[in-house]
Amino acid sequence: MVEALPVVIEDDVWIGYNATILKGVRVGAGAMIAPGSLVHQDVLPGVEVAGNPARVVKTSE
Amino acid sequence: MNENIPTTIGTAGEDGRFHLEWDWYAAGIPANVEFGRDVYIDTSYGFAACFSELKPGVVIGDATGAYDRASFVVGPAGRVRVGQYTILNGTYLICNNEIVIGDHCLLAWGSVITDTWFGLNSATREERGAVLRAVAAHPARRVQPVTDARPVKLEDNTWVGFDSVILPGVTLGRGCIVGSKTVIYEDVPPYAVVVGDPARIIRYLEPDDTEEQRVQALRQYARC
Repeated sequence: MVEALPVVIEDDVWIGYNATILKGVRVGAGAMIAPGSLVHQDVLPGVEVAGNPARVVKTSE
Repeated sequence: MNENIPTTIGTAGEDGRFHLEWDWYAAGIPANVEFGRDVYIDTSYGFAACFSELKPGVVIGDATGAYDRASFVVGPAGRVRVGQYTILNGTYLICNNEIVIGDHCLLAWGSVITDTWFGLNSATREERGAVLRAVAAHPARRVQPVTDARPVKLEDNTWVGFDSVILPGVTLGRGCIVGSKTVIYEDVPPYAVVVGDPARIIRYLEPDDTEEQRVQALRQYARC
């Protein structure tokens, strides 16, 4: 049985071209997902993540 | 010769737009799109977001094909040039300045080539919010070009793999290969094979180009 988990995208989030957000992930308000990223962990509000797997490239101002 | 493939797109209709006889989408292709000989476009839906006000706004060279709804998302000041014998397979071209694609290029499904991505200009959260509110306020719900778009160029004979993203300001050198799901932030030298996110070079190819062609490719790459 495949486990399904909710995904939450909060307000003011930008998701780049071809980015993938996996199950169970919460993307915090104002976060930025760079193009092509693969996100498998929660993203804190206001931070910018990039890469596969996605890593924080910029913390919130 | 496959008789189903037309040799030209034909002439513009009464509304000044090009209508394909096999098309399911009625709006047609904008008048400022130029075609060479033997061009194939599967549907004009790929031009539904082509708002270029330049003449020409899009140029497609001889025997180039746009399959599986390859999309031309072009802003008012954008211009896309595609060379000859190139295959655009469900590619998204997002252009507010200039995208140039050379001859004999092969672009796989889901690849994105863009000269505009707001996020890379280290915008603050407030600025990004303002962009979204501006879209909501626009009568046609269009995103206004909000950043300095930087031209993107794909030299001749480049291959781009599935779901790859080519970001603003990038030049792909002649004959290079971009693997699937690769994200390109920086220029790629001629004949290189790049993979990953962020992209890294894993090897160089031995092309059957002449020495003269190789030198020219390297010179061209060094110029940009």
